[in-house]
Amino acid sequence: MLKHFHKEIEYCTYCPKLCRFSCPVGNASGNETYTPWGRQTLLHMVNEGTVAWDREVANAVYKCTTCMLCREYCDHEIEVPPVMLAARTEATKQKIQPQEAVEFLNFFKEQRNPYGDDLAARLRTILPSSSFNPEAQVVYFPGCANMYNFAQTIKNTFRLFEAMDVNYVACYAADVPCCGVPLYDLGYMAEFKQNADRLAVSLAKAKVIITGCPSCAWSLKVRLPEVGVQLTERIYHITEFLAPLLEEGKLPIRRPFSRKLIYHDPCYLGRYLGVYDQPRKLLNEVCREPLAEFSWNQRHAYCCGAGGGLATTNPPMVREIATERLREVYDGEKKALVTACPTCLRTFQKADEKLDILDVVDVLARCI
Amino acid sequence: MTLSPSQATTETRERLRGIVGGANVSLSDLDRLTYSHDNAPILNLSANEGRVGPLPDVIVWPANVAAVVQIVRLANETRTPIVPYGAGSGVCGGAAPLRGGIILDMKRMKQIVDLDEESLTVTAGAGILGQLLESELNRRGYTMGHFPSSIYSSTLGGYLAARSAGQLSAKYGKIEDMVMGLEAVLGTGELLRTPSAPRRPPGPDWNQILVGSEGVLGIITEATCRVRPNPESRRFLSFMFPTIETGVEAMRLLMRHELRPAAMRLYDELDTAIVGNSSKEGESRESILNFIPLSQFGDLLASIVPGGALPAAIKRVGRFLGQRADLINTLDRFAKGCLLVLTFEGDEELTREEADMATLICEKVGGRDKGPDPAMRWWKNRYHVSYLQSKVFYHGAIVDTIEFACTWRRVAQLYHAVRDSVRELAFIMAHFSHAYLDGCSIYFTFITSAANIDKTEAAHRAVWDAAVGACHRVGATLSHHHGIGFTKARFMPDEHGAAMQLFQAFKKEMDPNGILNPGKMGLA
Amino acid sequence: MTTQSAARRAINVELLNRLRDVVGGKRVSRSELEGVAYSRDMQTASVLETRNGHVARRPDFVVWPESTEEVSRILRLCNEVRMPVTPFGGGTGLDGDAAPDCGGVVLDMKRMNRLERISELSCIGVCQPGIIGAHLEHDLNRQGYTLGHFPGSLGSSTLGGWLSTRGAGMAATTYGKIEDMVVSLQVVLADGAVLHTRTAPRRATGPDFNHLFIGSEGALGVITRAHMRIHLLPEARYFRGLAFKTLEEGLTALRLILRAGMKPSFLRLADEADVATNLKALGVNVSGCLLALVFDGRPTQVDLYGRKALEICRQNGGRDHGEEPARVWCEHRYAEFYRQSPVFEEAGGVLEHLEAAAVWRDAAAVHRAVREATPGDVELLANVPHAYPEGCGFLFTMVGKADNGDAAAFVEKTRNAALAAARGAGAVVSRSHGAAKGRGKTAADPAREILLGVKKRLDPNQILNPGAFAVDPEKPC
Repeated sequence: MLKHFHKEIEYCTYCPKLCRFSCPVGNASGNETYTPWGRQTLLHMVNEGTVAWDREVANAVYKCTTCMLCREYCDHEIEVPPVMLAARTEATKQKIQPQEAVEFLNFFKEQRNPYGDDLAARLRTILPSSSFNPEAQVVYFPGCANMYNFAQTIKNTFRLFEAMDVNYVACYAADVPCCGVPLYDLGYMAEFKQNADRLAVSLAKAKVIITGCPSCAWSLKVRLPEVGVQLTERIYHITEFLAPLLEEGKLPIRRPFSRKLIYHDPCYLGRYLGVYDQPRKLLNEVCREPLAEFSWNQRHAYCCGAGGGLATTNPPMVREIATERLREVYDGEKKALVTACPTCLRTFQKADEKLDILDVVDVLARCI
Repeated sequence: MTLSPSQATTETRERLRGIVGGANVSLSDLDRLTYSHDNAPILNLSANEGRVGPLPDVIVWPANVAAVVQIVRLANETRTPIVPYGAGSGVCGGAAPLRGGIILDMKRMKQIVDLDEESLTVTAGAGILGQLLESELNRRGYTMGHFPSSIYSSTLGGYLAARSAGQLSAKYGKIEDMVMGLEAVLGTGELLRTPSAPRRPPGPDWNQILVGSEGVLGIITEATCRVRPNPESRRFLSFMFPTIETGVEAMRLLMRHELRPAAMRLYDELDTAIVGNSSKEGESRESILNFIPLSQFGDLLASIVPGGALPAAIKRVGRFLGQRADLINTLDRFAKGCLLVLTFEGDEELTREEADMATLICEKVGGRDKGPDPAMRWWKNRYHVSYLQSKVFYHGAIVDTIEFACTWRRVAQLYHAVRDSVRELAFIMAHFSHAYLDGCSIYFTFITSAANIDKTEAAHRAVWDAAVGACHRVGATLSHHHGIGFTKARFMPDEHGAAMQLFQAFKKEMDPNGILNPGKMGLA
Repeated sequence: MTTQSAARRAINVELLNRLRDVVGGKRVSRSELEGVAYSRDMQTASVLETRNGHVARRPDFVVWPESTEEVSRILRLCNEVRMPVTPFGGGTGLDGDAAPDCGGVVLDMKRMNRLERISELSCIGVCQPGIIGAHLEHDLNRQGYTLGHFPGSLGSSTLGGWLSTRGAGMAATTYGKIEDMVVSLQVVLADGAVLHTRTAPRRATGPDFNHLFIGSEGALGVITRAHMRIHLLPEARYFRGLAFKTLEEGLTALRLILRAGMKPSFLRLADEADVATNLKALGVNVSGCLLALVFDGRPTQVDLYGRKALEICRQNGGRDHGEEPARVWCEHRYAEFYRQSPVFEEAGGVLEHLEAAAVWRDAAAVHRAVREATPGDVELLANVPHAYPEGCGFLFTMVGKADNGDAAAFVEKTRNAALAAARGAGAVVSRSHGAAKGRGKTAADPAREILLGVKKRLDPNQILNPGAFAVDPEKPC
């Protein structure tokens, strides 16, 4: 099984667990089994026939947020998440995925998104019809998490566009509301492909896609081509789009943002898309106080816990990981937390209701 | 003089003579009297009064470890206690033969077996006197760096058994830092050797089990210790601090910034007043000594306390001082602050850099530079203080020392708590020394006296009970380097809590018949 | 899968409920699958077993305590039913100490993983034993301190593990070995009793019982809290790489540097093979042996140390290669431990480590003896990772291929030969070898007998890590 990943599995099995301290699931659970080394060893044992490829082992490979922090501490630059995701695909083929994943798929199928909601209709209540244009070549893809949780952020995005005289971006109609990441993360490759094919049709005209969610950006840009769907190559996260405009002086700042902020690098924006500077540039431009940094930041930023389907398969663990991440927010002077991913945002909110938290877009919108 | 006769059986005497030769076995009453005590103040007091404590039955001088093994075997067979004896300088009664038996005087095992100049190690018999070892090392260009104030009258084996620390321990380490490997005969008669290597072998560290065991687990017969080249340079510094707290703060900061002075001592106000702080030798302004030279301090006491009879000296002194409030005020006038003396030694350039850094730090905390003289004077006279002991005992009082240690966080608290606890009971002064990254030791000297010896003993005991109570309440340790012996044995359960069972477990395994130095350290 | 006696199974059902009472349902596991991860540490033999798809003895339970009180209650329970208990940190030890030879309960300490507090006045960090080194160092650094303990396994090993195996890190020359860093310990004994050694910088109140628990592999008690000495982060750091034609010259220079009273923080004296393999892989191009020196401290101090050390090296045949070799190595000092994986991944490949320490008089001879004892087809790398005025430590790495796939025999042949040679030349070997947990049957050794006796008194039901101090190492359970 997973012959394609033979080297990864073997290397991790024999390693003295040098990345151990970085794994959010390993740290939260304290369980050796749910560490890169532990999971890879199990896959090795499956290949050796010592351990049956059964539901219990399958469960283990779902305990990974795909955050990629382990790669940062591996001299061999081994990427463990792709192995986990491939194993999950095997698991769904054999119908040994976790029960939560089964239930999730059923739920997803209702409205073709993780929320069981008619998100396209919801979107129409958030933005005026003038924001939509099916022929548009530059399209804003809000992401289902934003559509369901953060209507204000979507509104703020368009307020920013308006303030910057960017009138060529239209909002995606969201007839295919989800980029498919939840399906991919849970190993449902066939369903992911179906969804991807629909996206291909729906986004055929888009020459530039700007998303409000880093996982969506990654999914559209990298995961869709894996299943043979090639959209435009020009797919950006909103901060990537806004930063150059800021440099050109297009952002009219009326008042600075006065509260002290600390910035959390989302895993998919940072380690996956490589976007670290743009959000910081945007924030530093509008903030009165210098931006605070987590001690684990940029390439080493710790995960919020919700990636890789963990929010579906193990919500309590997500909460524990998020709580750990939030510790530094409370150190020292009072700070609000700012990030650039709706999943991180929602996860942190759920971990601490009293937390002061914003999207980068929201911060900018308050300054124009 | 009639003393209780030796209980050693004829058979034992014969066997001992067979092992070490007749000339190295003594049953003489004179020797038995000599070896009935070490330097514990309470024993000195008794001896002063003509009181004789328990006597050993026989004194033996083994020449090699094989002899020691045979003697231990004999003692096991006959259930005879053995008390290993270095030079008897301990202050806790650790070498006192409470239950009679054999005194094993180690001083014939005094050879320097090996000096490895490449590896900077020396291997010597446990019976070698400290100063003789040091002199020989010096002659060859090295130093052990171990300078307890008893160096003229103590042995290598004694250092290890008592877990000693010398005055330059901040630089050279304590005895447990110096020892690499040792050889000991256990209470079972078995020989234990720990290897001399920069790293211990797997398992618990046997050096650390034997060091500090004061002869109750095994008899140390030989040890390999680290040595250093003689320092090419030595620097002296002295600073006056307005208060104890600032002086302690300076010490803490020096250690925190990774300076390692060879010696560092801070004297409290009273101690400073007595030791003196004048910048120039002979300058007669700021020291009580210059009105009352230290060497005559004892005579001052004598004039207050008539010799011969044993009046309640402290009450007398107290009453006397109470009537002479001006004298107390005089003392206050001399209490101009706390003196910190520092020495650095080693490579010339490294020493200079350290000294410069230390000066910066001390001045930053409020220390006034008094130049090298006070420190040099201390260095010159560092063993001198021990000679004063005689005077005090001569006048029927008892002088004793208490040395607790704790973390920096609690040092001020410890100082005040101990002084408060004995305020009514004794005249007490203190200095701070043996500093570490995490804390330091406080060395208290107290003098007390009472109408007669029994009352003096009771007074002495009361001071200790009060002081240790304060110590444990603060969370400090009851001894930094003097050890436990029998005078502090009663405090061991409190000191160790549940860990005492570890000590008992080792005792039962290593000395099942309970023959090694019985009655000590709070063990059954 | 695991063969369990009927009696053990009966105990387990009852014990499961009682363990749940202590830690709740989520922090006890009976999963055979999870037992796989807890069946081994990084002992070469067990890596080889894993390669062959073999899983050694699994624990009956894995339990994750979160407090000293829980540990105490768990041990009391296990003591009542004579269930073995093996404390587990990172599971990265090389001697099999954390492997549950007799099944039973594995006590994974990693949920007791906090730096509880720092006393800035006393330079003490109060730490829980299950904290992974990288996290501990990170948390200390944030407040301006360092523990100064840098084993190769910093990313995966725990404080409790370092204490119970008496580890030394790459900066031991300056900061000390782990036992030098301990002020006091809180330990839970087999019967659940909690003891503390006194927190004072130094005591003369009998033996130092910290040292009973340090190095005893969890067989005498479970460490649940440690007061550790911490240091301010250094203000300045000096790097220098010196090349020497021979290791002997390098050893002499190093010895003289330490003799002069200077202590490098990080140091590595690499022999030719080590230079040509590990250091070359980092881009360091030097011929011969390399001494990488790092001094930490005050700016004036490190400048002085650097100048003096350089002079000593030059006088002893050292060629100055400037900062870079030392800086590059120091910044990538964990790189060589990644090598293990590709070696084992290749069919028949084996990698072994041996740590040995010797006084200076014997140091060169120890290195020579190990070289001579190593067969020609085995790659042998050697370096000195820490040194003292009296001697130094060596880390030997042996890499080769087993004939006929009999890797265990290969290990016996190369490692045992190296070990014997090192001992013969006067070294003390820190990593031992032999049947069951690297203890080995040694000749009548009073120390060992006494320890067994003490263990029997402290742990009469022999529940704590029974394989570590087995009366009969061939049959520990």
